[in-house]
Amino acid sequence: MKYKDNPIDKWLKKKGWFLYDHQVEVFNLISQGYDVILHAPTGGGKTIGGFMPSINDFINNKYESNVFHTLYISPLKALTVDVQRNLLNPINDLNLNIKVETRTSDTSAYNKSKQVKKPPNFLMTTPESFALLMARTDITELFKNLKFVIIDELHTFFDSKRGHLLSLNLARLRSIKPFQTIGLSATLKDTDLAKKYLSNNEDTKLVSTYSRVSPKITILKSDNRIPWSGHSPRYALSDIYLEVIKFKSSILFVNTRAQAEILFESLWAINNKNKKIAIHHGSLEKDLRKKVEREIVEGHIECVVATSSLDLGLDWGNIDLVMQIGAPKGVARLIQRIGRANHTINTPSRAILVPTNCFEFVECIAAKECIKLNLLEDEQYSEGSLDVLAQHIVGVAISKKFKKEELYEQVKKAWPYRNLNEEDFEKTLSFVENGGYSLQGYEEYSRLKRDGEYFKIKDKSLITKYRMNVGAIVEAEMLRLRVSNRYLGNIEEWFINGLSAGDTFIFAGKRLMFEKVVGNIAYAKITALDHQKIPSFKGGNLPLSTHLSKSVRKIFSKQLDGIDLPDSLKKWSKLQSKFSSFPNENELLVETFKRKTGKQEKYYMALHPFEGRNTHQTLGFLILRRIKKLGIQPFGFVANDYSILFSFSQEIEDIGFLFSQDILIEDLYEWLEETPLIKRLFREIAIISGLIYKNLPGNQKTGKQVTFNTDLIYEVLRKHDPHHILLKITTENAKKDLIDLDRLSNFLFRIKNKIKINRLNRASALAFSLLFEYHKETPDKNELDNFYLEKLEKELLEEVNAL
Amino acid sequence: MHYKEVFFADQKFSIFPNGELYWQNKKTLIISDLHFEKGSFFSETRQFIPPFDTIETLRQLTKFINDHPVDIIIFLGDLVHDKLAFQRMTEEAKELFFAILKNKNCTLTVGNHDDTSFLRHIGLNLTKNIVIDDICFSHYPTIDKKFSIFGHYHPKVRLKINSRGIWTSCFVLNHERLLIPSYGYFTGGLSIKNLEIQKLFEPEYEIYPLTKEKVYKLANKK
Repeated sequence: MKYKDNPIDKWLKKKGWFLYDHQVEVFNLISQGYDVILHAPTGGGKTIGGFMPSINDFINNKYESNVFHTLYISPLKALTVDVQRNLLNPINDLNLNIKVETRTSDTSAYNKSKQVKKPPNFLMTTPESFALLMARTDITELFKNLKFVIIDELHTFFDSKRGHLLSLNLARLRSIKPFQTIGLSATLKDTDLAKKYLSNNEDTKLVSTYSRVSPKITILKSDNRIPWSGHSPRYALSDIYLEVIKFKSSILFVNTRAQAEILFESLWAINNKNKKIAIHHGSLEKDLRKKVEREIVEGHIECVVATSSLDLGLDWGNIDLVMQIGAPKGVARLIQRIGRANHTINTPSRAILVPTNCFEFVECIAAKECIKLNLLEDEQYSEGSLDVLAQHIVGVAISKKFKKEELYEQVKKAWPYRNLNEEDFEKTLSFVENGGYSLQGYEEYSRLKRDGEYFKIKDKSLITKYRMNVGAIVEAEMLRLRVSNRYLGNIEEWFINGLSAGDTFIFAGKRLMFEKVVGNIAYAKITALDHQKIPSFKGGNLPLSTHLSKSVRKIFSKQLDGIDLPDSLKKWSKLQSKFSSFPNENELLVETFKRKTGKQEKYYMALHPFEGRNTHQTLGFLILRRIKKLGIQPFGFVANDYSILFSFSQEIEDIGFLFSQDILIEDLYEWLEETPLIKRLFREIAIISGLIYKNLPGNQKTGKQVTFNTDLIYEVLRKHDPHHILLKITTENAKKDLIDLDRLSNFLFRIKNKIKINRLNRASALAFSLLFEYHKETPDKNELDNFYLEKLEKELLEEVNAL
Repeated sequence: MHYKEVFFADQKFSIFPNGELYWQNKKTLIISDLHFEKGSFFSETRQFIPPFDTIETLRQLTKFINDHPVDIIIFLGDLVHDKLAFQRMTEEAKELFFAILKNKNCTLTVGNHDDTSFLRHIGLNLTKNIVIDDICFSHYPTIDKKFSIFGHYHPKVRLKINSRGIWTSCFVLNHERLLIPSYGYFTGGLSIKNLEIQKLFEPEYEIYPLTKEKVYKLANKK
């Protein structure tokens, strides 16, 4: 079959368009029977490229109208709808008899059951809905005609538990009905990894096309001074606005939802041209988000302030300008964001970077440089997580009885699980069966029944629970926010917990006054009062990528020479050189100084590793312990993406002692067991693995859905069953996600014998920014809780006595 | 072990961080809402919570009565989470518990979770309430007696310290009533701001929040 006979080709010709070479190449490789990855920039016709072989095959083989032929999986629900729309254009124009439908958590139960009885020819879905589909008993029948599986935004699956879930289900589907796989991605560096993940097959072919036009990236010029610290673009607000009014349509990307809220409000305050500016972030109510998305497409909105909620996919094609406000954090991420502008392959995307402080200015320069040289980060990948496997096993058991050995072999065919050993598999299976406790279990309450060599589910009540809890993303406890008689979105419970009635805050661009919480709903009303708090939405901020960090270090090691700097940065850099110095590329710069705050004199030590917040946090805790071992009382530390600042009670003589690599790693394991962060991880694992159910039938109306305190479960498990599989999963997850063990060890190795100590009389320009960071970490939460409780107790008693 | 003394009904009691109320003059220990086998209860819904809560609770109790002179123990109700709790309990836990029953004078003021058909046979005194020196001990608050010490609500309080909130379980008391927190390991709690609790203690009361090692005292600001 030649692509010339392809209906899509005819359609394009009729429109006066043509097929790109890479689309033809994908088509040819698919007709030869290969699995294919199409790596093309945004605007490169990936949707057409991915579906052309399907459409062609379906039309030419004259399949019956009820043949379920192609499965499309995307990480975003919105993308399934978008791609469906894009696909319906040629299908309707050509009068092709192909039925395309979406199936996500938004699909009604009625439509879902209709879809199974009479499947569409092409089905667009998400990994979670795919997992649910795979847990059906009739999958052999359902998938018997399946020819193609298309996976969009392939790179988002390498390093996530969602990716593990998807991979397990693909492996299972392959064992039931072989098919050809097509992966689509706009940002791929490690193409080998992509091939392995997609089909674990060496013969997989890659079709890659690089952007013919490199994006035009500039850093926003402002006459105002760039601040030394903080994350506010306020200094450049009028300059940002001037750019916004120059272009017909623009997206302003920020890094956190809090930044989005602030920027949105500030822009409206100066919006004298009445530009239609909107806000979009993941916490907003679905209806509000959809409305904004629709209005962008229709051209009613001229500017949208957005977080990563708009990073992926949706093909709008009419955005003229992308602004990145705040640090880019990673090269690939920046490219993805820039790609939102101009969805055609031959015109350059235009982007303006707006650093919010001096460090970010350097980071922006580094990112620009990396894009120019096409230096992208390697994608991260992760070993298949066993909590996801536990969930998968339940799904498999619901669908069909299985033999242990066969399932083990099948799971190992999912690339993330290729190294899974038999022992871990057995432990996971036994956990699913009856909790997997070493001394006593719940044998009589088992979830699985053994039938000779086979395992199957014991009772049907498990099916509902599985359906209600499927998925590999666990969000923080959220409350729905209700203002007058409508819902505005979801807000983190811990944030609401910190509010008292009458406190004001901003959400969805509105000034609100908190009233009360009833069940899982937080009530607030519109207010004109000022002094708002901003929900800071934990986890909105990614750490600096390893790659960018390296590039930033290089720029600093050259003392920012040879770069066109605004005056405020020149001053900043001069001050650093005058009173301290810049570190060489592989050096660690340590600065010490003292400062008087109030009556108290404090000693400070600033480190400048430029290794990203996560690494700094861990390093911070470890150094804190070391300082204690020297007999010095530390007060705490603050960390950002570039530096760490410690404060303590007296001068430290032996600074080298703090950094010895072996001892630090030893300390690390001790610390890991105690940190509250690991309990947060455990909660996620407990929910994904099905130890506790987040949702139970009839339970949605009560506020707290997780009825057990997972911190207590973690503690009791550690004490009574230290080798339990869930604890093993927690430690493995922690090594990777919490502390990024590899990055930390690499850092310690890099700086060995390369520590440069500057003892100063005052804070250097680099250290200065940290004096204003807010989130302080302290030696021991418990200790400090007690300290403050005692203070509180004293104050209250004094108040009572005064009555 | 750290503790705080309180005076209630002209008697001196001590409050301990794990939730024990100790009446030294009478060598009496008062604890409430142990909810034995709450963890394993959920195995019926196929949630395999680690089944170690009962043993944790019992070890804590055993340690307390070894460290302090105790002749009498009053359990203020909800000793077990459900009527099959003893069937699911481990041998080790049973041994610990029956040793306590054998060596101490134990009374259970029956709560809504307690199934008396089994509990009456194991050497516990079962009663709705017990009155000692004008103080009525019971699972629910007793309205018609002057002084009432009770459990049932699992009180907890949210403290705002250093701009973040923490939840701790707590004792609540005024001149007539003393509410004891739950002693069980996995038991949740009800905020003392809840109307059910508020209407028992308004307008003026004291709160004793508990942390792992210490007991604190806060007075209600009204």
